[in-house]
Amino acid sequence: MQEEKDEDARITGLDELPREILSAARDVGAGEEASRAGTFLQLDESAVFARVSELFEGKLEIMGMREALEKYGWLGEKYFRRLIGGDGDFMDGYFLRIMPGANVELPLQAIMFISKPGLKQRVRNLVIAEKGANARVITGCTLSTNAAQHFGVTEFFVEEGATLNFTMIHSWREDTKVRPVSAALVEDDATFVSNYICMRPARDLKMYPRAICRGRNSRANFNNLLYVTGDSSLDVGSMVKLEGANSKGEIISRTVAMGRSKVIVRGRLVGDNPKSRAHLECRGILQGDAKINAIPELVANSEGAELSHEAAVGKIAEKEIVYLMSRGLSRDEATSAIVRGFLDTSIMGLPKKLDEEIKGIVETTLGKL
Amino acid sequence: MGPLLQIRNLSVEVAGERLLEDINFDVERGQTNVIFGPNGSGKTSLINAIMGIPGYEVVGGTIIFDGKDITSLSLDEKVRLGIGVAFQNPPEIRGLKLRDMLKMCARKGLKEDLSEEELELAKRFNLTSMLDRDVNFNFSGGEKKRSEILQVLLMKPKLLILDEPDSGVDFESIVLIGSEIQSYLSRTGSSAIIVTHQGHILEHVEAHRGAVLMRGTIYCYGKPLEVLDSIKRKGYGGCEVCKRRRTRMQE
Repeated sequence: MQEEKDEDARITGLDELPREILSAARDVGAGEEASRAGTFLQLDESAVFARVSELFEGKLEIMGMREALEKYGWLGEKYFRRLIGGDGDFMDGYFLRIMPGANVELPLQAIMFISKPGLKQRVRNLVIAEKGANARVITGCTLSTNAAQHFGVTEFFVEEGATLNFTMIHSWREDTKVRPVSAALVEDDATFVSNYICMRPARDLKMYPRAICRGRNSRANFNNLLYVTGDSSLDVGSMVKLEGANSKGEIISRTVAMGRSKVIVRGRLVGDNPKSRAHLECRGILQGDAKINAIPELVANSEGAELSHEAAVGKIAEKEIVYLMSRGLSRDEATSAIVRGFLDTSIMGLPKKLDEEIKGIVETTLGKL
Repeated sequence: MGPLLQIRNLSVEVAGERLLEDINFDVERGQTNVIFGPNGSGKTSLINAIMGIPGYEVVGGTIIFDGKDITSLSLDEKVRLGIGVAFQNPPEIRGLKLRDMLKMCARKGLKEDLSEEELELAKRFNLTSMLDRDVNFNFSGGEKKRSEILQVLLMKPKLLILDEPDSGVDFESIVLIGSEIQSYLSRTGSSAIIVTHQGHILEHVEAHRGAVLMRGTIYCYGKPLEVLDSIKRKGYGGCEVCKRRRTRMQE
């Protein structure tokens, strides 16, 4: 019965989606299929669309997680649930595989959407960038309903010499509960960049993604931009564990907290290798009755590990507002310009076109608030 | 038409402390006034009070601009009436690109591009390579001054207020800043108030009137180069005993 229902839900193009779903998906980065190397869409419980653009056939694979597990028996042995265990049931998710040596110039996109009121969407995702592959992934998670919950587990494998730039955009409602869990394994000479943008935060969101730099010369960067309003409560952390020789890590967080929101921003760098280096930067501005608790942690387990951090939290500097007012902006316009500047996407290392797109999403969301 | 700016009996306090006392000061249309004064004499406070920077409370007197009483207007309202100010120590704003700041100054939307003419002006100020940098972040002293003047010129103000445009900058920057300011003033017939400590800018900008501000009040008015010459010879200590003290700007 369930399978029959899944079949019925399948679509052959994003333009078949109801307008309100498509519009909400666009707000979290869903682009025209022509501008993407491939597209995945999960609506509520099921993967309803997965397609690789013709130009990139043979370079990558996109499918629902359940289908991938059926197709490739070896996934279970080598990858699936290797970084994050668990034996619970799940409602599909995405499987993205970038083939060895493939250079995927256009971004791949995955959209997770909740339309059923009260749904607990539980998904498992798996992303593999095989040896020497180079790709950018943009995922958007959002909803059009109330009282929903989103539990996403994502495992990343960035194999030797591969580069994976993963950007996740969240847009929730004030009654949504969200629990994303993710882990990345970064091998020799590989780079993993994880960007997280949360523009419309949930009632309750907790996440603490981690990257393990196991390989020599491996590198992991986390960049988080959080815009938190109303009564939202966020607990967002990132962790980089440096096991490989010459491995490097960086965590940058920018948080704007307004209203009565409460934000905990964690960052943890663990230097296990004597030739490892990492830096953590956490900056926050707050207005109204908002609260920010920044918790940077440096754990050096090896004498040669070099770990550093800087953190600064406070209200928007009055002298900056005055400066912009002296250029003709009202106080509100000046505040807004400073917030926009603070949530600067150029820290995310995206290619120019994608950066402009993401910047546009941030601008649009701030404009609608 | 009367003067572009008329300040009458202006007294100003910050957090209850009197910083300016009974200031009288006019700027005629198309003319440039210079304010001299030692460190801590109240020059920047006077600019902040004219502009309506929050915290500077006018406790007496009036400020009339272009025939309108602007004493209690907010900073942005004054700017929109046509007063442009270049700060001595502008703050850095992370994430805000100089290019976008210039668009704001030119009253453009962020999606519009700067015009050829505006880009050409930025080029003359040697700031083309700074356009996509965060405003004032890691700018040298000279770059900050050039950026300030460029921003103000793009606002096309009727009155320019420049706080020490010539301090901490190299010789070439002073020549550049001075000649661009003078070119703008000559072309548009706008007026200016220039605060200067050492007077270098006066080699490139034609100034009509000067005043010495000390201990929060104006000690004298006179021809700018004469006042500057006197300060150079006798120092500000000479102003204390000068017979010109408290002479009104009548000549």
